Amino acid sequence: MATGFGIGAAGDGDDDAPIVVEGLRKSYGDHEAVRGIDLTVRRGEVVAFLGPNGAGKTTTVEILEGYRQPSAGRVRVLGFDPASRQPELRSRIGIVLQESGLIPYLTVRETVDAFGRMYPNPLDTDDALARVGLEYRSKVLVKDLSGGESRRLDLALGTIGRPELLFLDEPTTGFDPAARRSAWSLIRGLVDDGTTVFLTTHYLEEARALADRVIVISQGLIVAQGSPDELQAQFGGRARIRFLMPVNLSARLLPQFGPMTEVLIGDRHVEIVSPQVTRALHILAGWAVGRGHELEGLSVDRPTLEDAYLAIVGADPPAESS
Amino acid sequence: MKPSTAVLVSQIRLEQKSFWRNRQAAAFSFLMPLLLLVMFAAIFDGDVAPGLDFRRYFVAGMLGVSIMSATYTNLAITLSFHRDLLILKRLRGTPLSTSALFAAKAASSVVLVVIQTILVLVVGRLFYDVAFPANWLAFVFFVVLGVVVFVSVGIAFTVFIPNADSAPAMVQMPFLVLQFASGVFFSYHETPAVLRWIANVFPLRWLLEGLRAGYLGLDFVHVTKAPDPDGAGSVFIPDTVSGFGAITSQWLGILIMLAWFAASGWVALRHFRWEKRTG
Repeated sequence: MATGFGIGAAGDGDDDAPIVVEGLRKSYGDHEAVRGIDLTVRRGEVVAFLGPNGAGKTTTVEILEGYRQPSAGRVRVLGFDPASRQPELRSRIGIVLQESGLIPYLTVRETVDAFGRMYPNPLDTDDALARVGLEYRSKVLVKDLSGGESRRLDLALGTIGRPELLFLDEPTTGFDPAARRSAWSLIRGLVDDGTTVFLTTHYLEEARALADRVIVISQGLIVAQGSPDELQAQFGGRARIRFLMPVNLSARLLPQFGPMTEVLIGDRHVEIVSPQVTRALHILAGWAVGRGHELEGLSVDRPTLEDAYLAIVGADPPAESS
Repeated sequence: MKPSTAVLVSQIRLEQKSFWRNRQAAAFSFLMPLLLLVMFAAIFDGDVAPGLDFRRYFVAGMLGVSIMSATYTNLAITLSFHRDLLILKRLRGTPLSTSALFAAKAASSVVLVVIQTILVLVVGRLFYDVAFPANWLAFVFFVVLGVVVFVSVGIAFTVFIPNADSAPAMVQMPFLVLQFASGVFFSYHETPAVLRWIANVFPLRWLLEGLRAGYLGLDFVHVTKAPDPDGAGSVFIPDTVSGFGAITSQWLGILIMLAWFAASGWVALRHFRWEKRTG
């Protein structure tokens, strides 16, 4: 077991969990941004922390990173209290902030070299630059990088120290789709090497692609958590069959689809929401083929993680926990 | 080399690269004191005291200005910018220790002080006939004391700077007032009483007196008033100091400077902000 564990973590039976948070609260004046959060992140896990702006996401992450002091509750990161700001903890975590700066007049290589020197066992600078595809920009001054390149440099700097635990606060905002995919494969590579990742993002697609578990925070409280599939199944609603009614045909002619099935008709657009979607589809297809109709625009859509997320955060505000 | 030393050396090199690559800013903060030195020496002549050329008095004064510029001005402005650009926030998330970060910034200022001190001494010697320091011990003592005090004051001053945009004006204004009050361009003893009170409270005057004691071997804190042989007014004749006397005669100034060091150190430790103000 790594050194540094045990102090204060004894007794919870989960000493090896990189992040343990119990009853976390944070107030700014009268405003309580975080109102009592419990969470545990297991070793090697990728957790996506989602929530609308102002939900307390960044406040929570910045407490975990050691930037802010909690108002109440217990926080352990790799067994340390992050607020105590011990260098050993910071040498074992990597932080990619949502927004941060660099000295503009240094080159990319000088910057990566300098950050590498701060860590006990850093990646080689060439390797770190190659991983984010910046090797060809190594001699450029930081101030001359594009937005996307700067963000890739942020990723290189956050991972230069081979962190056990990596915090990524909206890591791919502003990336084009290709750059986003290569960032994901970089992150997956780190996860394969055993890195635990705590990620915030506004892209549900990103959470879907990377996360083992999604935690949704709203108004300072955790309102849902689970694997992307679980959240989709629980909150995404039912699958929908969609198609266009054949021209000149009344919707009243549609067959019965069985109990609990809703048929929504608007203009020519028809949506069928059924607990037994296979059966409904079978009835629909039989009806159409029997009458010789080809159904335009026929699709069966499973709810996406985004549908689930919107259902969660769009719901009534959670009651105050005490 | 121990890892911590390697990190420190690496940080000092980065600070230096970053300083010199920003050519306009480097030229401004570095050449300004030399430019002032050349201009004022061309404008003023005559004696500041019987037998003491104004330019000798003034070169010692500009040295103090150079020290304050390389430490206080440089640190307060760059730290404000690095705070607003969220560079400090990022560094705070790395294992780089706070002491290594500030030690590197202070050491980088020392590099600038050493270069500027050499330049002022050489320019003074070559063009204004000012001999090299009479008392190296006292001279180096006051250069070091000035660096220590103004590094600390520069870091503490960032506490009062709301954002980077206002940093240059907020940093330069009190510096300019102090330069005029503290006897850089004019003899301290011939400035109005209000300015002398200001000068006595702040550290710059005391640094200048210390530097003059080491550089010129003259103690302008302890002067004798005498009728001006050329006119109606009076002149102030400084005591001559040598050896440890150049330091001990400045005990009051040393105490005031140390008080500034302690007070600014306390403010910096207690109230230094790593992130820009939000809201």
